Amino acid sequence: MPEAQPAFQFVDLRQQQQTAQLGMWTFIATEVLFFGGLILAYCVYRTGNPDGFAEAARHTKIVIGAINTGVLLTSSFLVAWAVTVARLRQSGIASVLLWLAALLGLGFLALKGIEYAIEYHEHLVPALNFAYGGPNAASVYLFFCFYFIATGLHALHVAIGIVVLAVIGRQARRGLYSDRYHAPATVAALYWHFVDVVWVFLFALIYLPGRAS
Amino acid sequence: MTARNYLTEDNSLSSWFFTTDHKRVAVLYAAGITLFFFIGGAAATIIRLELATPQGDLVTSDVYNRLFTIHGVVMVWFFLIPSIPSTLGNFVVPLMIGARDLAFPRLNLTSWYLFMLGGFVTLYAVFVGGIDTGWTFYTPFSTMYSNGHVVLAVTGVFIAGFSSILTGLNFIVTIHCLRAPGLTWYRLPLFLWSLYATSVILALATPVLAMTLLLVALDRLFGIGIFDPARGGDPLLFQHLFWFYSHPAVYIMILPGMGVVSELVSVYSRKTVFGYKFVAWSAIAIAGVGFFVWGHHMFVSGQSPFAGLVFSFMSFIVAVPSAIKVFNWTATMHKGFIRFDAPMLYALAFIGLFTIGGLTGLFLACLAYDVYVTDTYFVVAHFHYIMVGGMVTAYFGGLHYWWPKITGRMYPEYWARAAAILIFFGFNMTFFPQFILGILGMPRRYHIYPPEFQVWHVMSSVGASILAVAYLLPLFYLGWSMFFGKRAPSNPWQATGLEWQTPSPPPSHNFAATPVVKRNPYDYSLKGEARPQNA
Amino acid sequence: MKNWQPPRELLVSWLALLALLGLTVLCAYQPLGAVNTGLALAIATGKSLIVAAVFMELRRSSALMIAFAAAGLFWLGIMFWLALSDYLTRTSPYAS
Repeated sequence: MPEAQPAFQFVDLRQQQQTAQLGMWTFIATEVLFFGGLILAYCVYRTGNPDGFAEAARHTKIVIGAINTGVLLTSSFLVAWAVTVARLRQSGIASVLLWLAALLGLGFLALKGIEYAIEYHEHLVPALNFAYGGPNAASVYLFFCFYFIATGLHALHVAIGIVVLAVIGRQARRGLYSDRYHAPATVAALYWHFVDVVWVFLFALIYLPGRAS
Repeated sequence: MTARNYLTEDNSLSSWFFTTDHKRVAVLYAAGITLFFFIGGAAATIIRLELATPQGDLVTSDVYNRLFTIHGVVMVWFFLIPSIPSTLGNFVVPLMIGARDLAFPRLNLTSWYLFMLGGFVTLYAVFVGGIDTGWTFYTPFSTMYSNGHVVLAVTGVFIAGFSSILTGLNFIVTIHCLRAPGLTWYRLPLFLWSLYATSVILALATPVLAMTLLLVALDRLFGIGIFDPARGGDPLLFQHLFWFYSHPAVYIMILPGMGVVSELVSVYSRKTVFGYKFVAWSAIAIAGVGFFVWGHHMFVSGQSPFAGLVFSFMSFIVAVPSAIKVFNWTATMHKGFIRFDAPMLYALAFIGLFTIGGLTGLFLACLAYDVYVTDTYFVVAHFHYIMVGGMVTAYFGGLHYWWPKITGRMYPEYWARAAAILIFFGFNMTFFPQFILGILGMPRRYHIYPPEFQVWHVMSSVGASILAVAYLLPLFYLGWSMFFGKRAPSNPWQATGLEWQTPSPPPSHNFAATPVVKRNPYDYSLKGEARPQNA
Repeated sequence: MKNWQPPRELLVSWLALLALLGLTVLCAYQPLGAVNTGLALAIATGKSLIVAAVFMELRRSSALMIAFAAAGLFWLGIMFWLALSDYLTRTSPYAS
């Protein structure tokens, strides 16, 4: 395998690595603000309708949600593991781990799909078939607007991440990574971990409220 | 016979449309924003023609609403925001730091494609009927009642927003990681400090706009009612989210202009910038504090008086770093060897006009006074003094200053000075009467008004026609200079920056050898002799 | 071949994350009133810190990298603080 060369604008591989990492963290910061805007809207409405939101949250599928959280956390573990062994030139193991993580990502999406189907069945989908009675119907409706927008956007990010992991996995299989050159793998891993962190917060905000009553 | 440079390297269409050379991307952007400037300007022309008479006789109210909306949308997102960063910034940043390109050249080209795509989607929205919501897309009108093409328009802006985010990301990382040896932060030219501050805002504020526009589009497409009071939504939430971006956005628009002025004032006074560190950190301060003031757009909207208080106070604070810059530029010029070349005329105009615009901003920051003049022409005049008198002026100044570097040609100096003076005159005649109109009570976004306001509107419209001619002049003489202008040397202004230590136009990879920086920027001797940064 | 095993920190972090997940679900069912929300968010923050510090390698990164990582959160904080300062001081009802 020939030695990796830095791109023409970089002096050496180390500068390229640092630049790529800084670039990904900057991108992550932009995503924090992107999801953050939505979460602010959620928080504003939840502060105004605490009971309605609590009632709505009880209708989310906490079992699926919790399993999905575990799935993503595990996939993050696998990705972090993969990057470590990729740097040690264990290309076969790295690629298997990355593809397993991607598979878990697909599992996440599958479970999400099942969840959406159940919610459709229960008439909880705004703009499609939302039907809910009781005094808090308006807040429940708002809650589910946020639920679908937030988890939908998150799922989109997961889908992109799955493709990225698959590509990185393939590059790892071809022995591209070493302790000198591993920028794409590190940077892709950062993205995947970030998607995981977003889900951790969405889980806390969506599935957990109102369970104690 | 000129040496091989980035322009002559390869002239096929594909070499331009698949370029990753930051200099070519800058030229592509320049073409794009020029197109959008004239489209936005055309809307303004019709607006000013309509406003010359008190009756609504040129266009219907509905068409008028679409005109001022498209003027705002195109000018803000497709001209002002990309203007200096994506044209001058893209061209100059790697040169100024002694690098061969930006950190992510392919991302840079992607930014341009996203920008043009967003622009064409928005123009398509205009073409099929336009939007009448104002550039601010306030809900619930935009989400529930408007009969314009809101989803199409916000989609165009959404796409262009990603262009901004990626440009900001690119600049931040480039300035952190690709500086030449010896180029410490305090040796960076002030243009880069300003662009860095701008880039932080681009990266962190724009995503919130993206989310806001997404919610508007979803609300409109699926009727979900997130901002509908009847269903528990709060229209003010839209305003909070929108202005969280749009106020820092105005700093995106002005900070690069301030950076350009710092460069110009130094070169054309043959002196180092007074209080370099203060000017540098004031850019960061403007970017930072600028995130704390957005509620001053919402004083009369129904937000709590306590919030109004906080936002008003912070709006006063944010004026301080701007004032520091104005004082320091003035001190820079004191006892300098001043040359009144066209770029300097633009810089001087900027200082005066920005000061007026900025001071009137303080009027607006006062809660009680704002109640009186909000949504009147006072506000319109205020932001045009900053955006046009400030930013557009600075853009022209920078364009002329770096023109020899970009094109390898000198522009015709006397035409340029004449245009600059005509712009200054036309601009003031257009917008100063608008302050008076505002105080007299003329509301913004109205095209039918009481006859007693007409004299001021006529003055403004006459000024606008002069301004229109004045803005067309550079199109002609700069265009002429591209083919017939005198060939430019590497350093026609005898300036100190690294961008002047390479040929005009530069070769594709910018420098034959990576420069090593040994000096502060703006190192001029007491006699005004330049000592280049790498000498 | 012995290089294939996951470093101990990664394994321990993963188990800790799963434990925190179990904890947060358990706590959600305890009637703690207003504390429930704060606790859920605190545990979420804890999980995120583990992911950020260990998986995203921030504990071994430069101060610059950590500053960049924190920047998004800091600016988000500004947005939350000032927007909520409006909503929490309103005297008339909103969004009801």
